[in-house]
Amino acid sequence: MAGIYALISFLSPFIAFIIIGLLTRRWGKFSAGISILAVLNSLLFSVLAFFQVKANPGPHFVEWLWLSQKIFTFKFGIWVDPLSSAMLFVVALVASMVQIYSLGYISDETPPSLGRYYAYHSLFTFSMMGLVLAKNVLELFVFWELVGLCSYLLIGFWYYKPTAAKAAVKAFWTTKLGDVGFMLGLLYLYKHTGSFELNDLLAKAPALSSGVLTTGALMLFAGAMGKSAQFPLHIWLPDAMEGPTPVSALIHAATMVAAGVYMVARLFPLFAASKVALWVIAIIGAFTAFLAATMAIVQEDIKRVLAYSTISQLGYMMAGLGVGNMNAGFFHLFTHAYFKALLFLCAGAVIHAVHSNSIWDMGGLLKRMPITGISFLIGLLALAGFPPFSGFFSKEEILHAAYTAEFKLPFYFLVAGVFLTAFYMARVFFVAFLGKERKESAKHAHEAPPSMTIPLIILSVFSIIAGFYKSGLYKLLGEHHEIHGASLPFLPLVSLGLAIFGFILAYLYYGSETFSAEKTTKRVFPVYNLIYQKYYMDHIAEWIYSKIALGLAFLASWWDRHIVDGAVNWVTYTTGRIGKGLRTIQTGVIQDYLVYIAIAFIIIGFIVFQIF
Amino acid sequence: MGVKAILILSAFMFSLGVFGILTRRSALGILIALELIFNAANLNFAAFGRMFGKVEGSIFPLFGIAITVCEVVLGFAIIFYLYRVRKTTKADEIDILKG
Repeated sequence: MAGIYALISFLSPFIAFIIIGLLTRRWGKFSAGISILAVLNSLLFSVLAFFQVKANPGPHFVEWLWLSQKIFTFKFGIWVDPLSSAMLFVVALVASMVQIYSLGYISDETPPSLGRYYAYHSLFTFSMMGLVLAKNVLELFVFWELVGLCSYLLIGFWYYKPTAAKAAVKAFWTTKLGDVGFMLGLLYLYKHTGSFELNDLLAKAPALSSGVLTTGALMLFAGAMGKSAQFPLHIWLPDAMEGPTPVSALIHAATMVAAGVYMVARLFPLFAASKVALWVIAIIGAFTAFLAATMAIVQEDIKRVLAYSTISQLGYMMAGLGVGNMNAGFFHLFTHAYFKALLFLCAGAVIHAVHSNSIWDMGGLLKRMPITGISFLIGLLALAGFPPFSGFFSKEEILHAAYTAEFKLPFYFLVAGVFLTAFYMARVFFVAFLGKERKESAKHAHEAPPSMTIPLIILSVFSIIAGFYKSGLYKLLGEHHEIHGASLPFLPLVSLGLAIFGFILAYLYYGSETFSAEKTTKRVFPVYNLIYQKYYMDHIAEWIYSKIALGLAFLASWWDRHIVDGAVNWVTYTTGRIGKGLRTIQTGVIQDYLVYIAIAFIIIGFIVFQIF
Repeated sequence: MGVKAILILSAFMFSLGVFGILTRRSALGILIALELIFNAANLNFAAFGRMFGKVEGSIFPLFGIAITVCEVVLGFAIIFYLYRVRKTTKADEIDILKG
């Protein structure tokens, strides 16, 4: 039964997409209604599927023949187990909240573009659910690319804005770079195991030689790095903020960017069988968590702060997986989806009210927009890891796992990240929501309409309570990755202390202004500038692109123009020359032709008489 | 006088005709040279008819002569028309097929 419920949940956004795309695109509000109805239906059935799985963990599946060839058969199917049903619920909940919210947020678009927006949203929800429920990795890959496409389409939703169009292309190509590795990894593992089926692959993986396993796992991880914006492929995510804010909340905070983490969790036995692969994942995750947190401090655009924060939190998830605790990594994904979507939606409400992205144009918004302000505070406390909000529990799990792991380096990065997270989030809160209005526009800000505040309230509730579901989720996911080592009562205190320290420091800088941020900036200007320039990562990427990629392209074009085209041109030119030469015997004088005939006749005559 | 001598004569006439066609600049000259070739063929018919003692060999040249007459009429018509259009009957000046 769980399989059927999940199937209904999976297909209803697709039906909405077909209806909107083919028929009702011109009637924006009507299309929005269809899309929201479909996604609420998905939510209902995902809850049903979740409870079914809770009663009987399965795995349940529904499958049918997809491709049938002589040498192989592919089946298309959905695979419902505790991991996928929990993720399905997250996707359905966040997607429905975001779609309802979007009604208020982009209400001033023209009807056809509203229809387009909801068509993309439905397609995205369908693809993301397909990714979550995929029964074999080939199917996973197909939906993996589909969510990438939807991300491209929605970042470039305002395609007439050059920055948005550029950001869309950048996001597409950067993630594609990782996807090449992902595809090669899938084929490589297929070559060694002979199967694309998830359960086959995972059953056969531990028997592979460690070299094969490590190579395959690292190639798959390249895909996860692109999708989940891990260093050094993180550069696309901040630029992706050019899209509408609800899109950032759904795709670039809660669901699609978590797909890389989900994929690693899905194939965890495969990764866990290779120590080197796990080590790489842990290091990259922890380093990303730290690096992105430092960059978040200097951002002025509220959405970019949140974007760097997302990169940082994805790093935490990866690090959690990398130190060998899948449950901790996935639990953080589970809680992060709610509070980060919440933060983005709050940011959207603020931007909608102030008509500016810069936090320096805001100020004093808490009393003008109380619901948004309090929701933002809840999201902030969850993100910074204050108890009893959800982020506290999941972050503790990851820190605990990192601390008890064999190598300690990721742990220090992650702990430093806790302090930075509290600091940059508190900075945004103090600058944007407290104090006095910094610009005229902030004085006219007022609370968002109910279609926007109701999703905020629902997500706030989930941000608070999701943390208490830890033991339930762990029981459901299975105990196969038990934390070893004694419990550490001082660890939560250390991280909480660091978070409070970060909070207080931000208060002193931006709340009471006891310290001057400007003076500190001047004192450490080289460091500040390095961070402000995003460690020159964009410059490096641009250099690689313009010098190496375009250089290779130039070489290829030269080869094509001169060698390939040259050969063709030589053939035509030579033919032309021969033709020109032969043309001269066509004098048009009848007697010349007769001479040829006579000569030919004589020659043929000679030959004939020679033979006889 | 044997058949051999007649055949030599006929071969001579044929060669003369071919030579005339290839070298004469005037279209009329070509037409006359053509007649030589025809007559060489007719002469061959007659010679072989006599050699094998068959009457067909002597009758066929009569048909040949009749065809030649038609051909001459046609040839003259073409030459007249050519003269009207191109104001010339010189064969080497008619080169509109030139490539």
